[in-house]
Amino acid sequence: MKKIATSQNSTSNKVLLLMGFLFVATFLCNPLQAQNKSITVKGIVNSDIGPLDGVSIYLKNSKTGTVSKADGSFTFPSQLKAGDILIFSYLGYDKQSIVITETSSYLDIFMKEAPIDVLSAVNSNKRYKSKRPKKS
Amino acid sequence: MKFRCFFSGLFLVCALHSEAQAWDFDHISFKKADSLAMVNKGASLDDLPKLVYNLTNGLETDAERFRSIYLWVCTNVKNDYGLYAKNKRKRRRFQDDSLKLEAWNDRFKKRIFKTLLKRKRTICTGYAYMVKTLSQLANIDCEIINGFAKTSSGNPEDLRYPNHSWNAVKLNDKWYLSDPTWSSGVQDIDNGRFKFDYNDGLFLAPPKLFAINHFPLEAQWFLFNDTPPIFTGFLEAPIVYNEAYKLLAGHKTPQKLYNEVPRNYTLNLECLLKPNIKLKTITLEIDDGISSKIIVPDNFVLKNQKLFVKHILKNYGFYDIHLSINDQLVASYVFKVRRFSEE
Repeated sequence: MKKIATSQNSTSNKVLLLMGFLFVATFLCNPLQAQNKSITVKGIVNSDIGPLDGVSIYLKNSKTGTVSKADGSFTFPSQLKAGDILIFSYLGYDKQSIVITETSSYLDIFMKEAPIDVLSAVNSNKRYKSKRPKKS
Repeated sequence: MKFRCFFSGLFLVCALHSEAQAWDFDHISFKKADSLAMVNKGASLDDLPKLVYNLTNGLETDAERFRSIYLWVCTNVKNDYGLYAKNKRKRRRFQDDSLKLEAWNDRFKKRIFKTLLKRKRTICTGYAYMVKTLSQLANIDCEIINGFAKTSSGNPEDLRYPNHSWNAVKLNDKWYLSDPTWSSGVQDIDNGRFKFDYNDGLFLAPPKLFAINHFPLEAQWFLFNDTPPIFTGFLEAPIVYNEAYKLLAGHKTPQKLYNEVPRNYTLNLECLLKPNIKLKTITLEIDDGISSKIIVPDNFVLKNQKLFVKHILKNYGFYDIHLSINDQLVASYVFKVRRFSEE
């Protein structure tokens, strides 16, 4: 009986020791620890025609986002951390992805127009009618 | 005999596999994706990331996410015939002046995006751009493909310069072709009205069928494993209607729209049909310019989804021949039957 109690004691000691080790290791070995501080991101979105109003700005893989104001300025509604990716999207302009670093508290974004050729062909499902040779 | 059966079976499987496109996803139900597209009907384009989130939230595969985006674009964005006509006119006018053409394109591009944003109306490039942009926001690799498209007008003038844009999308490391403009609906050219009528056949369409009326500027976008087609072949190809994409998996012969043949020539029509199409719904209509009649061809065979139609053209004349399935126009060909063999 006493033996069983001792072995139970030593098992729980081992578990505690392992947990303690893991706890310390997490703090010592995590290089990102220093980067985990929160950053408030502000900025402005510009284009060829000046500041862009209504650009969607959102955190990748989330629903959190905002839109730029009439003067192109924005303040991201939630705190970000280094390594987060902000996506800037506006109809007719190329999408931009910005990786947040510790120094990303102010972003100056320039949106480039999408380089597209405007083409169009309409399919009407109208029955084909051949041009017949004139009878001589 | 056993070997012959085995090899012909193997050949059929290979043939079907090379045509396989939307069929690659037979095991996936698009029900949830379709219902998300429907639930978001009428959503605005002001906040594209939010729209993408709403269209794809809870969908597990890229194929479903792409489906929801594609269906939403095709059922919410209208074709604008006025914009189409204006662009066509201007591009034709500036066709030999690259600077003016570029300036026009720059001006018109701004107008296209404004119209798309405010009124959800556009032309081909706008459709392809919407599909690409929304897909990329969902982390799906998608491209706009520019090139030539052959419409049922059959007007060779329309094919002097690139006239159409569509999409290529990468799903499970494989590229697929789709045409959102033609999937979206039908344009009545006489009154300029557009009617939404979603055509699922142009969603992940079979590349060989697609190439009959789509010729990309860059050959890689034919998505052929073998030699890509040449432009002359494309110009000479038969007319294939939008409805064909719902009914056909492939089209083999006749390979030309215009055919000149002697009397008693046997018209040989061969296509690969999609599953569950009945032989009795297939008809041929022959129009001699004065009257047209629906005929029963001399021979009809439907075997393993392969349709073989044979009909002897006994009388000389000039005929427009239309193939229909389920009362829907599929393809048209022209046959000039010579009176004398040396003519």
